[in-house]
Amino acid sequence: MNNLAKLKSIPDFLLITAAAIIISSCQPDNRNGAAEAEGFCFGTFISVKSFTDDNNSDAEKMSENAVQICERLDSVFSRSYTENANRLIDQDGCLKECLTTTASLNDKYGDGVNLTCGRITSLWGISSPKPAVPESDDIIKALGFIEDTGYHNGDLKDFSDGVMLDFGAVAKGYACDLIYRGITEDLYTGSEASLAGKNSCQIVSMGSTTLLCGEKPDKSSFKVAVKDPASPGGDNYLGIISCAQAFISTSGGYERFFVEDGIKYEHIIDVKTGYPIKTDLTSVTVIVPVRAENGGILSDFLSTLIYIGGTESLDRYLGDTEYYVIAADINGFIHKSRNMPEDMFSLKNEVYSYAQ
Amino acid sequence: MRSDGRKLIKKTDLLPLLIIVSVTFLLLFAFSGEKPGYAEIYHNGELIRTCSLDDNGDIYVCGGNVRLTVSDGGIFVSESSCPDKTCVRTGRIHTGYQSIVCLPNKLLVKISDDNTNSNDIDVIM
Repeated sequence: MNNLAKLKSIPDFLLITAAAIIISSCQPDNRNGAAEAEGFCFGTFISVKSFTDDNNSDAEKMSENAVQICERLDSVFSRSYTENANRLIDQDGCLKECLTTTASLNDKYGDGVNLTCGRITSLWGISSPKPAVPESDDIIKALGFIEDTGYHNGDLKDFSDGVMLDFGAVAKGYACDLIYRGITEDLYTGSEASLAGKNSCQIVSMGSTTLLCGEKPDKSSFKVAVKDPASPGGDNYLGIISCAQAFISTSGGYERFFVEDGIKYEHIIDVKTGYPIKTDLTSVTVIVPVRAENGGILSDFLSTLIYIGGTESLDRYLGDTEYYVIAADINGFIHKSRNMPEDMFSLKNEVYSYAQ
Repeated sequence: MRSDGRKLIKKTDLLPLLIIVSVTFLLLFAFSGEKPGYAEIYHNGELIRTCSLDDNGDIYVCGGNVRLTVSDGGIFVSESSCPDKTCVRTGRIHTGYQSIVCLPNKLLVKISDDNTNSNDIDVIM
Protein backbone atom coordinates (compact mmCIF):
# COMPACT_ATOMS: atom_id res chain seq x y z
CA MET A 1 0.00 0.00 0.00
CA ASN A 2 2.89 2.36 0.61
CA ASN A 3 3.85 2.26 -3.03
CA LEU A 4 0.28 2.77 -4.11
CA ALA A 5 -0.03 5.71 -1.80
CA LYS A 6 2.71 7.46 -3.76
CA LEU A 7 0.39 7.65 -6.75
CA LYS A 8 -1.39 10.94 -6.94
CA SER A 9 -4.80 9.42 -7.52
CA ILE A 10 -6.69 6.27 -8.34
CA PRO A 11 -6.97 7.30 -12.03
CA ASP A 12 -3.16 7.42 -12.22
CA PHE A 13 -3.05 3.90 -10.93
CA LEU A 14 -5.67 2.80 -13.46
CA LEU A 15 -3.77 4.52 -16.27
CA ILE A 16 -0.56 2.73 -15.39
CA THR A 17 -2.37 -0.61 -15.06
CA ALA A 18 -4.06 -0.17 -18.43
CA ALA A 19 -0.77 0.80 -20.04
CA ALA A 20 0.89 -2.29 -18.54
CA ILE A 21 -1.83 -4.50 -19.98
CA ILE A 22 -1.37 -2.95 -23.41
CA ILE A 23 2.40 -3.39 -23.34
CA SER A 24 2.23 -6.97 -22.10
CA SER A 25 -0.41 -7.91 -24.68
CA CYS A 26 1.85 -6.69 -27.47
CA GLN A 27 4.97 -8.56 -26.40
CA PRO A 28 5.79 -11.74 -28.30
CA ASP A 29 6.18 -14.90 -26.22
CA ASN A 30 9.93 -15.32 -25.93
CA ARG A 31 10.02 -17.80 -23.11
CA ASN A 32 11.26 -20.61 -25.36
CA GLY A 33 13.55 -20.94 -28.31
CA ALA A 34 11.75 -22.46 -31.27
CA ALA A 35 12.85 -23.22 -34.81
CA GLU A 36 11.61 -25.18 -37.79
CA ALA A 37 13.43 -26.82 -40.68
CA GLU A 38 12.15 -28.73 -43.67
CA GLY A 39 13.41 -30.86 -46.50
CA PHE A 40 12.56 -33.52 -49.09
CA CYS A 41 14.16 -36.87 -48.22
CA PHE A 42 13.33 -40.57 -48.49
CA GLY A 43 10.73 -39.73 -51.12
CA THR A 44 8.73 -37.67 -48.68
CA PHE A 45 8.53 -34.30 -46.97
CA ILE A 46 10.45 -33.89 -43.72
CA SER A 47 9.35 -31.34 -41.17
CA VAL A 48 11.27 -30.67 -37.94
CA LYS A 49 10.23 -28.45 -35.06
CA SER A 50 12.57 -27.89 -32.12
CA PHE A 51 12.04 -26.10 -28.84
CA THR A 52 14.54 -25.23 -26.14
CA ASP A 53 14.36 -23.27 -22.92
CA ASP A 54 17.33 -21.14 -23.79
CA ASN A 55 17.30 -19.45 -27.12
CA ASN A 56 16.51 -19.86 -30.78
CA SER A 57 20.09 -20.64 -31.66
CA ASP A 58 20.04 -24.09 -30.03
CA ALA A 59 16.61 -24.83 -31.48
CA GLU A 60 17.85 -23.83 -34.94
CA LYS A 61 20.86 -26.13 -34.58
CA MET A 62 18.63 -29.01 -33.54
CA SER A 63 16.25 -28.57 -36.48
CA GLU A 64 18.99 -28.04 -39.06
CA ASN A 65 20.97 -31.04 -37.83
CA ALA A 66 17.93 -33.30 -37.98
CA VAL A 67 17.33 -32.37 -41.61
CA GLN A 68 21.05 -32.77 -42.40
CA ILE A 69 21.01 -36.29 -40.93
CA CYS A 70 18.06 -37.14 -43.18
CA GLU A 71 19.73 -35.68 -46.25
CA ARG A 72 22.98 -37.52 -45.57
CA LEU A 73 21.21 -40.85 -45.05
CA ASP A 74 19.02 -40.29 -48.08
CA SER A 75 22.08 -39.89 -50.29
CA VAL A 76 23.65 -43.04 -48.74
CA PHE A 77 20.52 -45.15 -49.14
CA SER A 78 19.62 -43.86 -52.60
CA ARG A 79 22.89 -45.25 -54.00
CA SER A 80 21.52 -48.72 -53.29
CA TYR A 81 18.84 -48.21 -55.95
CA THR A 82 21.40 -48.00 -58.75
CA GLU A 83 24.25 -50.15 -57.47
CA ASN A 84 24.55 -53.80 -56.58
CA ALA A 85 24.84 -54.49 -52.85
CA ASN A 86 28.36 -55.93 -53.07
CA ARG A 87 29.64 -52.78 -54.75
CA LEU A 88 28.25 -50.31 -52.25
CA ILE A 89 30.68 -48.45 -50.04
CA ASP A 90 29.53 -48.23 -46.44
CA GLN A 91 31.67 -45.31 -45.36
CA ASP A 92 30.23 -44.65 -41.93
CA GLY A 93 28.67 -48.04 -41.19
CA CYS A 94 25.05 -46.91 -41.65
CA LEU A 95 24.21 -49.66 -44.11
CA LYS A 96 25.72 -52.35 -41.90
CA GLU A 97 23.85 -51.07 -38.85
CA CYS A 98 20.55 -51.07 -40.74
CA LEU A 99 21.14 -54.56 -42.12
CA THR A 100 22.18 -56.12 -38.80
CA THR A 101 19.42 -54.39 -36.81
CA THR A 102 16.80 -55.48 -39.35
CA ALA A 103 18.22 -59.00 -39.36
CA SER A 104 17.91 -59.22 -35.58
CA LEU A 105 14.29 -58.05 -35.88
CA ASN A 106 13.72 -60.70 -38.56
CA ASP A 107 14.93 -63.32 -36.09
CA LYS A 108 12.63 -62.02 -33.38
CA TYR A 109 9.46 -61.14 -35.30
CA GLY A 110 9.55 -62.70 -38.77
CA ASP A 111 11.00 -62.26 -42.24
CA GLY A 112 8.21 -60.31 -43.96
CA VAL A 113 10.51 -57.30 -44.24
CA ASN A 114 13.59 -58.05 -46.32
CA LEU A 115 16.06 -55.35 -47.36
CA THR A 116 17.38 -57.35 -50.32
CA CYS A 117 14.19 -56.65 -52.28
CA GLY A 118 15.77 -53.76 -54.25
CA ARG A 119 15.60 -55.51 -57.61
CA ILE A 120 11.87 -56.17 -57.23
CA THR A 121 10.89 -52.73 -56.00
CA SER A 122 12.84 -51.08 -58.82
CA LEU A 123 11.15 -53.44 -61.28
CA TRP A 124 7.76 -52.15 -60.14
CA GLY A 125 9.08 -48.59 -60.15
CA ILE A 126 7.19 -47.99 -56.91
CA SER A 127 9.21 -44.90 -56.08
CA SER A 128 9.66 -43.74 -59.66
CA PRO A 129 7.47 -41.22 -61.48
CA LYS A 130 5.99 -43.98 -63.65
CA PRO A 131 5.30 -47.20 -61.73
CA ALA A 132 3.99 -50.10 -63.83
CA VAL A 133 3.16 -53.79 -63.54
CA PRO A 134 6.21 -55.77 -64.70
CA GLU A 135 6.25 -58.92 -66.82
CA SER A 136 5.78 -62.03 -64.66
CA ASP A 137 9.03 -63.53 -66.03
CA ASP A 138 10.93 -60.49 -64.81
CA ILE A 139 9.37 -60.83 -61.36
CA ILE A 140 10.46 -64.47 -61.15
CA LYS A 141 14.00 -63.51 -62.14
CA ALA A 142 14.07 -60.70 -59.55
CA LEU A 143 12.92 -63.10 -56.84
CA GLY A 144 16.13 -65.04 -57.47
CA PHE A 145 18.08 -62.12 -56.05
CA ILE A 146 16.38 -62.18 -52.65
CA GLU A 147 18.74 -63.19 -49.86
CA ASP A 148 18.54 -63.24 -46.10
CA THR A 149 18.99 -59.62 -44.90
CA GLY A 150 21.39 -60.72 -42.17
CA TYR A 151 23.05 -63.46 -44.20
CA HIS A 152 26.44 -61.80 -44.23
CA ASN A 153 26.17 -59.94 -40.95
CA GLY A 154 26.06 -56.66 -42.81
CA ASP A 155 29.23 -57.32 -44.80
CA LEU A 156 28.18 -55.89 -48.15
CA LYS A 157 30.86 -57.40 -50.34
CA ASP A 158 29.64 -60.91 -49.55
CA PHE A 159 26.19 -60.41 -51.05
CA SER A 160 25.74 -62.34 -54.29
CA ASP A 161 26.24 -60.56 -57.60
CA GLY A 162 23.05 -58.85 -58.71
CA VAL A 163 21.48 -58.51 -55.24
CA MET A 164 20.19 -54.99 -54.68
CA LEU A 165 19.15 -53.45 -51.40
CA ASP A 166 16.11 -51.31 -50.62
CA PHE A 167 16.21 -49.62 -47.22
CA GLY A 168 12.79 -48.02 -47.66
CA ALA A 169 11.17 -50.10 -44.93
CA VAL A 170 13.53 -48.85 -42.22
CA ALA A 171 15.29 -45.75 -43.59
CA LYS A 172 13.07 -43.17 -41.89
CA GLY A 173 13.06 -45.08 -38.63
CA TYR A 174 16.84 -45.30 -38.71
CA ALA A 175 17.05 -41.55 -39.37
CA CYS A 176 14.86 -41.01 -36.29
CA ASP A 177 17.21 -43.22 -34.27
CA LEU A 178 20.22 -41.15 -35.32
CA ILE A 179 18.42 -37.88 -34.61
CA TYR A 180 17.37 -39.12 -31.19
CA ARG A 181 20.92 -40.20 -30.38
CA GLY A 182 22.12 -36.77 -31.43
CA ILE A 183 19.75 -35.06 -29.02
CA THR A 184 20.25 -37.34 -26.04
CA GLU A 185 24.01 -37.40 -26.40
CA ASP A 186 24.16 -33.63 -26.92
CA LEU A 187 25.92 -34.02 -30.23
CA TYR A 188 24.28 -30.96 -31.73
CA THR A 189 25.46 -28.04 -29.66
CA GLY A 190 28.45 -29.56 -27.93
CA SER A 191 27.41 -27.51 -24.94
CA GLU A 192 25.88 -28.37 -21.65
CA ALA A 193 22.75 -26.61 -22.79
CA SER A 194 19.42 -28.18 -22.38
CA LEU A 195 19.31 -30.61 -25.24
CA ALA A 196 20.01 -33.79 -23.35
CA GLY A 197 16.73 -34.42 -21.71
CA LYS A 198 13.65 -32.80 -20.46
CA ASN A 199 14.29 -29.15 -21.30
CA SER A 200 14.31 -29.59 -25.04
CA CYS A 201 11.74 -30.91 -27.41
CA GLN A 202 11.85 -32.04 -31.01
CA ILE A 203 9.10 -33.18 -33.32
CA VAL A 204 10.36 -34.83 -36.49
CA SER A 205 7.67 -35.68 -39.00
CA MET A 206 8.53 -37.80 -42.04
CA GLY A 207 5.03 -38.63 -43.22
CA SER A 208 4.68 -42.22 -42.11
CA THR A 209 7.35 -42.03 -39.38
CA THR A 210 7.60 -39.59 -36.51
CA LEU A 211 9.98 -38.91 -33.66
CA LEU A 212 8.58 -37.16 -30.60
CA CYS A 213 11.41 -36.28 -28.28
CA GLY A 214 11.62 -34.47 -24.96
CA GLU A 215 8.84 -32.49 -23.38
CA LYS A 216 6.71 -29.84 -25.05
CA PRO A 217 7.20 -26.29 -23.78
CA ASP A 218 3.71 -26.27 -22.25
CA LYS A 219 4.32 -29.71 -20.63
CA SER A 220 1.32 -31.20 -22.41
CA SER A 221 1.50 -34.61 -24.05
CA PHE A 222 2.24 -35.00 -27.76
CA LYS A 223 -0.83 -35.34 -29.95
CA VAL A 224 -0.66 -37.29 -33.17
CA ALA A 225 -3.61 -37.59 -35.52
CA VAL A 226 -3.87 -40.89 -37.39
CA LYS A 227 -5.39 -40.54 -40.84
CA ASP A 228 -8.54 -42.39 -41.74
CA PRO A 229 -7.35 -44.96 -44.32
CA ALA A 230 -10.70 -44.68 -46.09
CA SER A 231 -10.40 -40.90 -46.37
CA PRO A 232 -6.79 -39.89 -45.75
CA GLY A 233 -7.22 -36.36 -47.09
CA GLY A 234 -9.98 -35.20 -44.80
CA ASP A 235 -10.18 -33.74 -41.33
CA ASN A 236 -12.01 -36.82 -40.17
CA TYR A 237 -9.16 -38.68 -38.53
CA LEU A 238 -9.22 -42.27 -37.37
CA GLY A 239 -8.21 -41.11 -33.92
CA ILE A 240 -5.75 -39.13 -31.83
CA ILE A 241 -2.71 -40.58 -30.07
CA SER A 242 -1.73 -38.79 -26.88
CA CYS A 243 1.67 -39.86 -25.61
CA ALA A 244 5.06 -38.99 -24.14
CA GLN A 245 8.23 -39.15 -26.22
CA ALA A 246 8.17 -41.99 -28.72
CA PHE A 247 8.89 -43.25 -32.20
CA ILE A 248 5.69 -43.73 -34.19
CA SER A 249 5.23 -45.35 -37.59
CA THR A 250 2.16 -45.96 -39.70
CA SER A 251 1.84 -48.35 -42.63
CA GLY A 252 -1.02 -48.62 -45.08
CA GLY A 253 -1.75 -48.77 -48.76
CA TYR A 254 -3.99 -45.72 -48.95
CA GLU A 255 -1.51 -43.04 -50.01
CA ARG A 256 1.20 -44.57 -52.13
CA PHE A 257 -0.23 -46.75 -54.85
CA PHE A 258 -0.90 -46.73 -58.56
CA VAL A 259 -3.80 -47.96 -60.65
CA GLU A 260 -3.36 -49.92 -63.87
CA ASP A 261 -6.27 -51.38 -65.84
CA GLY A 262 -8.55 -50.58 -62.93
CA ILE A 263 -6.48 -52.56 -60.41
CA LYS A 264 -4.92 -50.83 -57.43
CA TYR A 265 -1.30 -51.76 -56.65
CA GLU A 266 0.07 -50.76 -53.25
CA HIS A 267 3.70 -49.76 -52.70
CA ILE A 268 4.54 -52.53 -50.19
CA ILE A 269 5.79 -55.60 -52.07
CA ASP A 270 5.52 -59.15 -50.74
CA VAL A 271 9.08 -60.45 -50.99
CA LYS A 272 7.79 -64.01 -51.28
CA THR A 273 5.54 -63.46 -54.32
CA GLY A 274 7.12 -60.38 -55.87
CA TYR A 275 3.70 -58.70 -56.07
CA PRO A 276 2.13 -55.98 -53.88
CA ILE A 277 0.94 -57.48 -50.64
CA LYS A 278 -2.63 -58.49 -49.98
CA THR A 279 -3.79 -57.80 -46.45
CA ASP A 280 -7.05 -57.38 -44.59
CA LEU A 281 -5.63 -54.49 -42.57
CA THR A 282 -6.01 -50.94 -43.85
CA SER A 283 -3.74 -49.10 -41.42
CA VAL A 284 -1.23 -50.12 -38.75
CA THR A 285 0.36 -47.69 -36.31
CA VAL A 286 3.12 -48.73 -33.92
CA ILE A 287 4.19 -46.57 -30.98
CA VAL A 288 7.58 -47.38 -29.47
CA PRO A 289 8.61 -45.49 -26.31
CA VAL A 290 12.07 -43.94 -26.73
CA ARG A 291 13.59 -46.18 -24.05
CA ALA A 292 13.60 -49.05 -26.59
CA GLU A 293 16.90 -49.68 -28.35
CA ASN A 294 16.75 -48.69 -32.03
CA GLY A 295 13.11 -47.72 -31.47
CA GLY A 296 12.87 -45.90 -34.80
CA ILE A 297 13.80 -48.94 -36.87
CA LEU A 298 11.61 -51.08 -34.61
CA SER A 299 8.50 -48.94 -35.17
CA ASP A 300 9.09 -48.76 -38.94
CA PHE A 301 9.81 -52.48 -39.22
CA LEU A 302 6.86 -53.58 -37.09
CA SER A 303 4.23 -51.36 -38.70
CA THR A 304 5.15 -52.82 -42.10
CA LEU A 305 5.44 -56.38 -40.82
CA ILE A 306 2.11 -56.28 -38.96
CA TYR A 307 0.40 -54.67 -41.96
CA ILE A 308 1.71 -57.43 -44.23
CA GLY A 309 0.65 -60.18 -41.78
CA GLY A 310 -2.96 -58.99 -41.55
CA THR A 311 -5.43 -59.90 -38.81
CA GLU A 312 -4.33 -63.53 -38.96
CA SER A 313 -1.02 -62.84 -37.22
CA LEU A 314 -2.05 -59.68 -35.38
CA ASP A 315 -2.75 -61.16 -31.98
CA ARG A 316 0.84 -61.94 -31.04
CA TYR A 317 1.78 -58.29 -31.50
CA LEU A 318 -1.15 -56.99 -29.44
CA GLY A 319 0.20 -58.80 -26.41
CA ASP A 320 3.77 -57.47 -26.53
CA THR A 321 4.68 -54.90 -23.90
CA GLU A 322 7.65 -53.25 -25.64
CA TYR A 323 5.43 -51.21 -27.97
CA TYR A 324 1.79 -50.33 -28.69
CA VAL A 325 -0.21 -51.20 -31.81
CA ILE A 326 -3.32 -49.60 -33.31
CA ALA A 327 -4.59 -51.48 -36.37
CA ALA A 328 -7.69 -50.90 -38.52
CA ASP A 329 -9.10 -53.73 -40.61
CA ILE A 330 -11.21 -53.77 -43.77
CA ASN A 331 -14.39 -54.33 -41.74
CA GLY A 332 -13.91 -51.11 -39.78
CA PHE A 333 -12.71 -52.72 -36.58
CA ILE A 334 -9.89 -51.24 -34.52
CA HIS A 335 -7.48 -53.60 -32.80
CA LYS A 336 -5.19 -52.15 -30.14
CA SER A 337 -2.58 -53.47 -27.74
CA ARG A 338 -4.04 -55.05 -24.65
CA ASN A 339 -1.64 -53.14 -22.39
CA MET A 340 -2.24 -49.74 -24.01
CA PRO A 341 -3.04 -47.03 -21.43
CA GLU A 342 -6.69 -46.00 -21.59
CA ASP A 343 -5.92 -42.40 -22.56
CA MET A 344 -3.27 -43.13 -25.20
CA PHE A 345 -5.65 -43.46 -28.14
CA SER A 346 -9.04 -41.87 -28.61
CA LEU A 347 -11.14 -43.05 -31.52
CA LYS A 348 -12.51 -40.06 -33.41
CA ASN A 349 -14.32 -41.72 -36.27
CA GLU A 350 -17.78 -43.17 -35.83
CA VAL A 351 -17.36 -45.43 -38.85
CA TYR A 352 -14.96 -47.53 -36.78
CA SER A 353 -15.44 -49.50 -33.58
CA TYR A 354 -13.19 -51.56 -31.38
CA ALA A 355 -12.89 -55.26 -32.16
CA GLN A 356 -14.23 -57.47 -29.40
CA MET B 1 -15.41 13.78 -1.74
CA ARG B 2 -12.23 13.40 0.19
CA SER B 3 -11.30 15.55 3.20
CA ASP B 4 -8.80 17.63 1.14
CA GLY B 5 -11.67 18.62 -1.13
CA ARG B 6 -10.17 16.89 -4.24
CA LYS B 7 -12.53 14.74 -6.31
CA LEU B 8 -11.63 11.04 -6.52
CA ILE B 9 -11.98 11.09 -10.30
CA LYS B 10 -11.91 14.35 -12.14
CA LYS B 11 -13.71 14.90 -15.43
CA THR B 12 -10.38 15.56 -17.16
CA ASP B 13 -9.13 12.13 -16.01
CA LEU B 14 -12.02 10.34 -17.63
CA LEU B 15 -11.21 11.00 -21.29
CA PRO B 16 -7.65 9.57 -21.35
CA LEU B 17 -8.81 6.74 -19.10
CA LEU B 18 -11.62 5.91 -21.50
CA ILE B 19 -9.23 5.99 -24.48
CA ILE B 20 -6.67 3.79 -22.74
CA VAL B 21 -9.28 1.20 -21.68
CA SER B 22 -10.84 1.15 -25.15
CA VAL B 23 -7.48 0.69 -26.86
CA THR B 24 -6.60 -2.06 -24.38
CA PHE B 25 -9.71 -4.04 -25.15
CA LEU B 26 -9.31 -3.49 -28.88
CA LEU B 27 -5.75 -4.77 -28.77
CA LEU B 28 -6.64 -7.73 -26.57
CA PHE B 29 -9.43 -8.61 -28.97
CA ALA B 30 -7.15 -8.24 -31.98
CA PHE B 31 -4.36 -10.41 -30.50
CA SER B 32 -6.43 -13.13 -28.91
CA GLY B 33 -9.19 -13.60 -31.45
CA GLU B 34 -9.37 -16.16 -34.23
CA LYS B 35 -7.36 -14.79 -37.12
CA PRO B 36 -7.67 -15.94 -40.70
CA GLY B 37 -4.73 -18.07 -41.83
CA TYR B 38 -2.84 -17.80 -45.04
CA ALA B 39 -1.19 -20.37 -47.24
CA GLU B 40 2.52 -20.36 -47.98
CA ILE B 41 3.42 -21.97 -51.30
CA TYR B 42 6.96 -23.29 -51.76
CA HIS B 43 8.54 -24.60 -54.95
CA ASN B 44 11.98 -26.23 -54.80
CA GLY B 45 12.20 -25.08 -51.18
CA GLU B 46 11.65 -21.42 -52.00
CA LEU B 47 8.63 -19.44 -50.93
CA ILE B 48 7.04 -18.40 -54.20
CA ARG B 49 3.73 -17.05 -53.00
CA THR B 50 1.46 -16.47 -50.03
CA CYS B 51 -2.29 -16.10 -50.23
CA SER B 52 -5.02 -15.34 -47.75
CA LEU B 53 -7.45 -18.15 -47.09
CA ASP B 54 -10.18 -15.54 -47.05
CA ASP B 55 -9.89 -15.36 -50.82
CA ASN B 56 -11.46 -17.67 -53.34
CA GLY B 57 -10.00 -18.74 -56.66
CA ASP B 58 -7.40 -20.78 -58.52
CA ILE B 59 -3.64 -20.39 -58.47
CA TYR B 60 -1.37 -22.04 -61.04
CA VAL B 61 2.15 -22.91 -59.84
CA CYS B 62 5.13 -25.08 -60.87
CA GLY B 63 5.01 -23.83 -64.44
CA GLY B 64 1.30 -24.47 -64.65
CA ASN B 65 1.68 -28.13 -63.65
CA VAL B 66 -0.32 -27.71 -60.45
CA ARG B 67 -3.59 -25.90 -59.92
CA LEU B 68 -4.34 -24.87 -56.34
CA THR B 69 -7.84 -23.83 -55.36
CA VAL B 70 -8.58 -21.55 -52.43
CA SER B 71 -12.10 -21.74 -51.07
CA ASP B 72 -14.05 -21.75 -47.83
CA GLY B 73 -11.01 -20.81 -45.73
CA GLY B 74 -8.87 -23.66 -47.07
CA ILE B 75 -6.68 -24.64 -49.98
CA PHE B 76 -6.31 -27.84 -52.01
CA VAL B 77 -4.67 -29.19 -55.14
CA SER B 78 -7.44 -29.44 -57.69
CA GLU B 79 -5.23 -30.57 -60.57
CA SER B 80 -1.67 -31.85 -60.86
CA SER B 81 0.52 -33.26 -63.59
CA CYS B 82 2.13 -35.77 -61.18
CA PRO B 83 1.50 -39.48 -61.78
CA ASP B 84 0.71 -40.50 -58.20
CA LYS B 85 -1.81 -37.72 -57.36
CA THR B 86 -0.91 -37.96 -53.67
CA CYS B 87 -1.18 -34.18 -53.47
CA VAL B 88 -4.70 -34.25 -54.90
CA ARG B 89 -5.70 -37.01 -52.46
CA THR B 90 -4.39 -34.95 -49.53
CA GLY B 91 -7.51 -32.85 -49.96
CA ARG B 92 -8.26 -29.51 -48.43
CA ILE B 93 -6.08 -28.08 -45.65
CA HIS B 94 -6.96 -25.17 -43.44
CA THR B 95 -5.08 -25.26 -40.13
CA GLY B 96 -1.49 -24.78 -39.03
CA TYR B 97 -0.46 -28.41 -38.66
CA GLN B 98 -1.56 -29.46 -42.14
CA SER B 99 0.42 -29.38 -45.37
CA ILE B 100 0.22 -30.55 -48.96
CA VAL B 101 3.25 -32.04 -50.63
CA CYS B 102 3.74 -32.90 -54.30
CA LEU B 103 7.11 -34.60 -54.57
CA PRO B 104 7.28 -34.87 -58.39
CA ASN B 105 6.60 -31.15 -58.70
CA LYS B 106 8.69 -30.23 -55.61
CA LEU B 107 5.73 -28.35 -54.19
CA LEU B 108 4.92 -27.67 -50.55
CA VAL B 109 1.85 -25.81 -49.36
CA LYS B 110 1.43 -25.10 -45.68
CA ILE B 111 -0.85 -23.01 -43.57
CA SER B 112 0.49 -20.25 -41.41
CA ASP B 113 -1.72 -18.98 -38.63
CA ASP B 114 -1.49 -17.99 -34.98
CA ASN B 115 -4.50 -19.92 -33.80
CA THR B 116 -2.65 -22.97 -32.52
CA ASN B 117 -2.67 -23.90 -28.85
CA SER B 118 -1.57 -26.77 -26.63
CA ASN B 119 -4.63 -28.84 -27.53
CA ASP B 120 -3.74 -28.79 -31.19
CA ILE B 121 -2.36 -31.72 -33.07
CA ASP B 122 1.42 -31.89 -33.37
CA VAL B 123 1.67 -34.35 -36.24
CA ILE B 124 -0.65 -36.04 -38.73
CA MET B 125 0.36 -39.45 -40.03
